[in-house]
Amino acid sequence: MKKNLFENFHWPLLWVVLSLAVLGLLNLYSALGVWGEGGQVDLIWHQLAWVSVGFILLLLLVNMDYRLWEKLGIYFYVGCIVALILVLLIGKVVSGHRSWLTVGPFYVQPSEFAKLGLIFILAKYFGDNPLPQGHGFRDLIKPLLLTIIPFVLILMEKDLGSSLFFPLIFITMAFVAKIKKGTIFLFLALVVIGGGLAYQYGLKPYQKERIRIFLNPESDPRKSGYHLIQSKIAVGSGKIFGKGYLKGKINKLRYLPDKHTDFIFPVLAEEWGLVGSFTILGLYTTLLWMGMGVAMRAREPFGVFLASGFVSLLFWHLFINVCGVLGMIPLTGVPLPFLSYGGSSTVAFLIGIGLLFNIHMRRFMF
Amino acid sequence: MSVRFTNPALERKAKAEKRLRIFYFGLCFGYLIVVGKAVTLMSQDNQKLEKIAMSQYRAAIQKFSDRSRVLDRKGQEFAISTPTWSFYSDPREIKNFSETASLLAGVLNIPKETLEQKFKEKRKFVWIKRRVDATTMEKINQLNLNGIYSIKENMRLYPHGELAGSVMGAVGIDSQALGGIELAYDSYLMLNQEPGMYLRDARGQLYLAPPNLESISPKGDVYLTIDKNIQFFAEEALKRAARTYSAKAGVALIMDPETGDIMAMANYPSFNPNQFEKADFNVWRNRAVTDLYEPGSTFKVIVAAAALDHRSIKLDEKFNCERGSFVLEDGEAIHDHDPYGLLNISDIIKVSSNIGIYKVSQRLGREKFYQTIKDFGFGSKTGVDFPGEIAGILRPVQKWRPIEAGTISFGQGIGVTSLQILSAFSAIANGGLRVQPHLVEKIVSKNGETLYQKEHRVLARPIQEETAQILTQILKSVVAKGGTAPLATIEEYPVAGKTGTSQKVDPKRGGYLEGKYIASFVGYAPADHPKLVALVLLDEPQGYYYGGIVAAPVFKEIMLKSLNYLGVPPQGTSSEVLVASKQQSSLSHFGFMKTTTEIKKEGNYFKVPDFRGVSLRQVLKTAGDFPVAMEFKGRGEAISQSPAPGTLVAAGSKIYVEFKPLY
Repeated sequence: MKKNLFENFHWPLLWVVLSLAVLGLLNLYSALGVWGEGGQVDLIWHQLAWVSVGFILLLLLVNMDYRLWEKLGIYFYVGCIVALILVLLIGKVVSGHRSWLTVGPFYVQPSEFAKLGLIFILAKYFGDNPLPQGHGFRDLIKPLLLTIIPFVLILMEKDLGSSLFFPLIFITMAFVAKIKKGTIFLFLALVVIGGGLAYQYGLKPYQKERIRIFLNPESDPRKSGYHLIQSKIAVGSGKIFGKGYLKGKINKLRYLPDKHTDFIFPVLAEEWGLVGSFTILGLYTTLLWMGMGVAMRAREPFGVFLASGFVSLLFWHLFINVCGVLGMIPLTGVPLPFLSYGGSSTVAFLIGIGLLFNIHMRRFMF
Repeated sequence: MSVRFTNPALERKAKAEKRLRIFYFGLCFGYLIVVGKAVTLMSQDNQKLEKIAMSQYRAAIQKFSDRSRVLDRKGQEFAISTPTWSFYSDPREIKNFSETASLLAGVLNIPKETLEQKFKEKRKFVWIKRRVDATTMEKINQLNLNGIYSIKENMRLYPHGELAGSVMGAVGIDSQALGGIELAYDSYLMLNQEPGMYLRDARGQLYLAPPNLESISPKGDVYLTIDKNIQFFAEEALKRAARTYSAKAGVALIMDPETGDIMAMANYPSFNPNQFEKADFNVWRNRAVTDLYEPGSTFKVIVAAAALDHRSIKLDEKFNCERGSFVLEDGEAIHDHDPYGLLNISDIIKVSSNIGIYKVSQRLGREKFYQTIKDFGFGSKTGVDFPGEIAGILRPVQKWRPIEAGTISFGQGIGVTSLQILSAFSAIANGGLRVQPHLVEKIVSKNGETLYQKEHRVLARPIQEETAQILTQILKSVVAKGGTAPLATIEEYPVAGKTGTSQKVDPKRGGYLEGKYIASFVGYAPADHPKLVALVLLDEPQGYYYGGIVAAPVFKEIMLKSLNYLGVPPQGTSSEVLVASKQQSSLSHFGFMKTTTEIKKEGNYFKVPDFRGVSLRQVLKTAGDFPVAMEFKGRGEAISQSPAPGTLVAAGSKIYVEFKPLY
């Protein structure tokens, strides 16, 4: 049976993921260094360690029937919720967000795993409750509650960027499970009204500032709009072939903020130009396409929802990060999968990829 | 197919697939937006964005780049680079101009207002103070001010200060070569090709861009032909004389006539390249190559050389010097300093008779004269490796007025540089061969590779070797009793040379300036086998103005010190035999022991070697093979001899050597 399984192994997906991981590490190395004193080049070893851990977990998951997660998912979800509460109580504050838990020498960001937890629990829910006529608002109350719990907890960590993924994942998965038309509009209305209210009363001044800057970055180039302008300059001055590896001046002269996390894409675009950006974006496209293929060919609904949920998670990360640094939507501080520095997100993404492999391998097993 | 639609689970799956597709298309659409935006940014806007990018990270700062060293021929450092610290400011980061300014003013000795003014300039980069010492740097760093940064800059340092300053030239605060060797060999000395390429990071901190290795041409240390000690002798003696006679300016040059190595190039007033900002631009010039003067009597030697070489006159032929005053056809009169009667060419040069040399030049003819002048290098640059050299003024012979060949014969109506005169005399000293003068010996890269090596180049042969030998004998008489420059006589070494005294030309109105003279002396020693040729020139000496009085003693001092320093064995003048005292024999450190005692055959003559310090047996062994008569006195080590070493003697001549026991 094992042999049979590996005959169905999704080798192209492995190559794509490996390519992204390797290119991501190379690019991260450049982003971590600066000219002159400073820089955090040592962090590349941390990231390498996390990538290794991620791949080990990926291999473990490949060997573990994903259907086990139908049962385990709930524990994973609950574990994440507990961790999120712990974060609020004893979490570490890093760059303004109380998002980290210290586990031995490691910093773990439970919000990254909570995204996976939500996908598990929603996949289970939608898999168990098929409604061919479409889900109405009432049918969605239960999954909505499951979404709102981590959402609120993460909002309380003041990590708006991460919290947004929960409603996004919910909406995407609910769409795949089929929602009634009226309910879609209801949700849209809720988002608009909620967003408006949140902007007026819920957002911190700096968050409002970010939205204003997004609307008009040149209004204050010295201060708040600065990051966005630098990011655009970096991407734009890369031109077709880029300035060369380790030669991006905007990158190396520290004009880019958080360039090893949120602003990793401008680093790539400056040094590798249009060609490099297209290569990476092309790899992501392939990854998403393969992920959708896995979802469509999944043997049963749990697999479909699990795969499409993970694909949506990848997509929203990509979309929000790249659109953010290109000035198309407000900046939220979201890591770019496989490129940004960050242990928890890297491990979480590789776990997700492991699930995709597993779903793919077991698609013919009845 | 029909099965598919009858099975509700499969139907659901098909519907789910449809929604997945919609989701996927939505995803692709969002994705395309992202890609489109990236493409727009990278292709369409990049001109503008690149410009913005450049303007923020490229700091247009002229900064002192590193330069390699300049050394003398023995490896003594004449120009080096030392690191210093410079402070600059990004005023945007200063919160309180007044406070920062007053804190800095206390440490830097700059008025507070000046600093505030600098901060108010709307620039991202303002120099506060460049090149501060370590203590000041420490003090400023301790203030820990916002918006004040330091940068490491290299500073050009000339450890010997004024010594050879005008040869070195200078390097500006932004590393630009401003003259001299620094300018002539700038491409070898400048280690960083793009001094302005400094990058500024987001915090205003500056970084040197990683060097573009392809654009770097070979760099290395420049070794001069100058010798620090000889340069020092020349500058000291020149300065003393110039001050004694309150001269406006002066030049002293020393060169090896055989190789063309310029071993000293002294200028007065001297120039300190360490403080070039304070120096009057007048002081910067290396007058030896940039200043024009009428050579006066020194040029008579060129006439004599031409006349003898073309065999226009005979050595014993006498010319009527008209008792000191001679009226030309056009009514103008030529005068001599003293009245003379009939003089041969040797005496004409010895007493420097204008009338005599005029008559010689008439015999020579202008075409031949002109040719020789040109062959001696007048009217064209010597090609020395120094910037700003001028060619002098020599009108083509076709345009000479009738009288001009005459006036040029005593050095009027022709403009020359000191180096040209020196080069012409070095040709005579070098047996008639004029070689290329050099200031740079070689350039050696950091890893020991020789990037440049001077080339020994013969530029011309203005006269035959015989003529050169005859001229040397004539020029020896100049420094002898009755000549114009007995003050140039050196007891230890025979000297050949010529004085020059010329009235200065009024550059504006033409004609001569009353009471303004240029006094010069040019010569070489030891006369019969010259090691060095030297020129001394004083501009507008007060009181005495004759070359023989003002310049000749300087020549003597420089020449004597230099020859001693180089270890050239003293030989005694041609007229008297040197009686070696104990002290002199101690000079054997200067190389007596090393000199060969072989008798060399030169044409029909034999060159007398230096026997001093050698044993009797050794002398006998050497002299035995040659048809000369040896006469000895005493035993032990040879202490004196006659004729002097280097003298050419005919077969059958007598050589006398005196010995003294060692203990």
